[in-house]
Amino acid sequence: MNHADQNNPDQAEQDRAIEDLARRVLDHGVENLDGAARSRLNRIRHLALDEADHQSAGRWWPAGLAASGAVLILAVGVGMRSAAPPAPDSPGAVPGLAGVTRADGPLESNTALEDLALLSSAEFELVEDLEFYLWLEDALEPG
Amino acid sequence: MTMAGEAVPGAAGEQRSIPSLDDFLKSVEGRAFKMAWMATGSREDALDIVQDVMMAFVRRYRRKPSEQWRPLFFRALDNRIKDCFRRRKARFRWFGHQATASDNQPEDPVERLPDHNRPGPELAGHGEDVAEALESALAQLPDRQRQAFLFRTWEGLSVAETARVMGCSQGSVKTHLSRAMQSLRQQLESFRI
Repeated sequence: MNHADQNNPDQAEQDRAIEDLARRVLDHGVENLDGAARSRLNRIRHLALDEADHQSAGRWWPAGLAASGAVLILAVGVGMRSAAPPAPDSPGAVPGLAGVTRADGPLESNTALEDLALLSSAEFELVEDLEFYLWLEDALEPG
Repeated sequence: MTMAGEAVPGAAGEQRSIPSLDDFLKSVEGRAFKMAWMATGSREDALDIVQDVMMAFVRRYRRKPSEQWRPLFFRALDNRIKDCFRRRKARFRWFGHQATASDNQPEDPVERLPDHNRPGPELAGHGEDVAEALESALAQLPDRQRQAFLFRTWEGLSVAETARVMGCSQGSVKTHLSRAMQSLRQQLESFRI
């Protein structure tokens, strides 16, 4: 794996060293996760395996409850937003918020509807596209 | 096509075991957590992301052939991280503060236990400083550059696989990787790697 200029062997060697170091540092970080993280990941895995064992259509109601809760929280938030003074915001300091500005006036209706749908949905977008499945079938075909 | 839990004959007639769902999830949970933590900057958000991805994965994809699990899992992880960013932006527009899952969470005493997440002997010659600098440099990379670097370098996906998992072109992956390497070279220059 070489992203460096092919005419610059020193840089290619440096890139390989950085990649090798990154793999070792990241692997070491995973092997030595602290007890709290390891414990939570174990619980999450067992929860997921339990879900796999007991999956049934009737167990989707918690997601519906969560969505209803999100709508309620959003409604309360709208009220708070209209009453609260503007906060000293620095969105660039938080990953995913760079370039986002908070609207002090009414939100654009399209944005508001999109936000409402997003914040009230319990499910995130998964791999739905047929193209990706077809590629997987081809890419993993032996030989 | 093989399903998890089966044993199939290998080339020399030996039985090659197909990973169980438990084995697979164990193999990816720590990596997924680290990737999500670096992306979001929040330990609690990262754990929530891993939980959502694992639950969604077993609901929808556990019956897929086990060879497909890894790209499906990381595609779902990439989507969930992007979803986290979209939700943050939406929350910010509505509530005007940078809420994360760690807000209003009581402190977990277990988290005060010593963290052994330190460079070990295998990093001898580089030391703790360079390991910390590397993690910091990775965390500071733009999201798509970091994801491309992690999928390609850490997960060992090909450029084509990385492009598919990230939902972009191979050219975009190469550009992300090139810029990521340039940034890492600069950030780690003083360590003379």
